[in-house]
Amino acid sequence: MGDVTLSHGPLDTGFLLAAVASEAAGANVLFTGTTRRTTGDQTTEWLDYEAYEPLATTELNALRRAAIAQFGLTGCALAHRLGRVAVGETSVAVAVSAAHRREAFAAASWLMDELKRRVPVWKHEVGSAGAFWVHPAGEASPAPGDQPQGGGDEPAQ
Amino acid sequence: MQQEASPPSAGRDNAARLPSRFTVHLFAGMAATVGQRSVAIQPQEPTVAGLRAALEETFPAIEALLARSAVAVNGRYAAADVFLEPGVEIAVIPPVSGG
Repeated sequence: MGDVTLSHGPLDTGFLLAAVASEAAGANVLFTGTTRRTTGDQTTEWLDYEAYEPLATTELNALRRAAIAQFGLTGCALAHRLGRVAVGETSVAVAVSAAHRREAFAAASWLMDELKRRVPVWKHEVGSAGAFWVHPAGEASPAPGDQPQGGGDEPAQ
Repeated sequence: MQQEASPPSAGRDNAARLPSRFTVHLFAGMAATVGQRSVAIQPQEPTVAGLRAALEETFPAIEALLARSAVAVNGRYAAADVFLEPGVEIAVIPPVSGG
């Protein structure tokens, strides 16, 4: 797996964390998103993910560059799994390293927010509520020229 | 008098030009509703706005989701007035749900 990965097989999160390590790093954060069994009183059997892969790769690379610049990261790797992801398995992973923990935690959180907002990946959920594609209500797709949002997520000085 | 509304042209005579045909990639709920992963569309006006109008006319069932979707041209999110050159790669991007 490289700095940005779309994988049709399981994600190697240990590799991802090792890939961002360096002597410049004093803080290393790995976030993994996993398929959850329950949402309220509904249960999930599995998720199937699909992506518009060329644009997803472009967007992930743009997010990675933005995070490195905005948070002063020393390392950053992003991976999303496609295809079927069973309950308990990892669908997304973000690994970042920085000199200090505050920037590393903030960057991982910001990257996940932006990934969920911008990157053309979709989940198809199968469970007690039936089988359906998830298209979050109230959220339009990114507009052209809509850049990753720095907003209130600036790292503390 | 022309029967059909013709798009404003920038000093070009479009009267003799036939509308170009574009392949449009569909994903997730959009592809499920249409029942195809790509469709051929011949918009009256070769712009993103023209494409949206033609898609809506051809597949009325996608109207609500299309209104919440972005359009990507050659791998970039594209504004309504972007001109569609023949052969460009077009994708409709419904609200995303990765993570």
